[in-house]
Amino acid sequence: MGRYEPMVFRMLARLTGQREGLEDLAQEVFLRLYRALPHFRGMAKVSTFLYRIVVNVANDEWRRRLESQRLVPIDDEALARVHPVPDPEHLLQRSEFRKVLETAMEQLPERDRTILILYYQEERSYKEIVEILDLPMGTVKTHLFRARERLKTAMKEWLVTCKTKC
Amino acid sequence: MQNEVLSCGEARRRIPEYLRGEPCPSLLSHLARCEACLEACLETALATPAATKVPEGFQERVLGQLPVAASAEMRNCVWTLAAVAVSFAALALRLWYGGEIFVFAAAVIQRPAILAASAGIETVLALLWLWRALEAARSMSQ
Repeated sequence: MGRYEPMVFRMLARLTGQREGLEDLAQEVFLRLYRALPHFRGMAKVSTFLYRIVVNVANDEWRRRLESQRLVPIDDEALARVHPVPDPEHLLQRSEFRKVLETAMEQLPERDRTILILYYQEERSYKEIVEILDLPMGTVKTHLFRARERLKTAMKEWLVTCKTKC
Repeated sequence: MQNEVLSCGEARRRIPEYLRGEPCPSLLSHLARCEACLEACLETALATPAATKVPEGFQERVLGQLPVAASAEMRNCVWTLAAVAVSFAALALRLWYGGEIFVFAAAVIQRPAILAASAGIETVLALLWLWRALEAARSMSQ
């Protein structure tokens, strides 16, 4: 379990875009893994199986947030719950580029964001991403290309405004 | 102060330190002009893992929750077994009070193949239940 903990935390942090409340989500991941283990037939690697669970838990979290956004009238407080502001210390340690990038990533569709994180941060191959997300290879490649293009556009726009302000 | 003009090589060397938080306005001006370097910066930023820390005692807290999940599974198993036992008892009672049990027994005695088939099915069912119970016990001990 200890071997997979850092991966679960960093995946959840990137997928949900939050740093607070990650422990509850990570606990949910390991509990789901535990419940699913008796049905695990060893056809896939445990890590692949675990990535799948992490993605599902993160997707459930996004759905829960969207649901609470729909139920509660939008105000600053509700927005802060959906897109929590990272702690100041954490903000200081990151470059402006990374802050803008992370905000842009939160605007991506769930699937694009997941594929992007699996490919770049987790260094999973196309084949592994196909197994984790149960998608055709072509779809994975298309989503990855599209997500990268969207991020590039967002960063270009920011750099143009930054030229005048930074 | 005027920003220095960076070459692509210099810009790429500065990307990691900029992403770590070092201010570098000349790099940003370069990225605004050069798509290849922007892509390189983007890929480096994406490949850098999110800064997270596993909270102390996390593993203990998860393990503390596991027996609850396991006992819930065992409870399910016990309830299914109990339901099967009750339905068998109800069937036996119905046959007994309807007097059909003797008709059924006579039919079975006259046709040993029926007896053998039902014994076979019962054995398979018993083995399946035994295997499930062993699996549950094994996953609980892990």
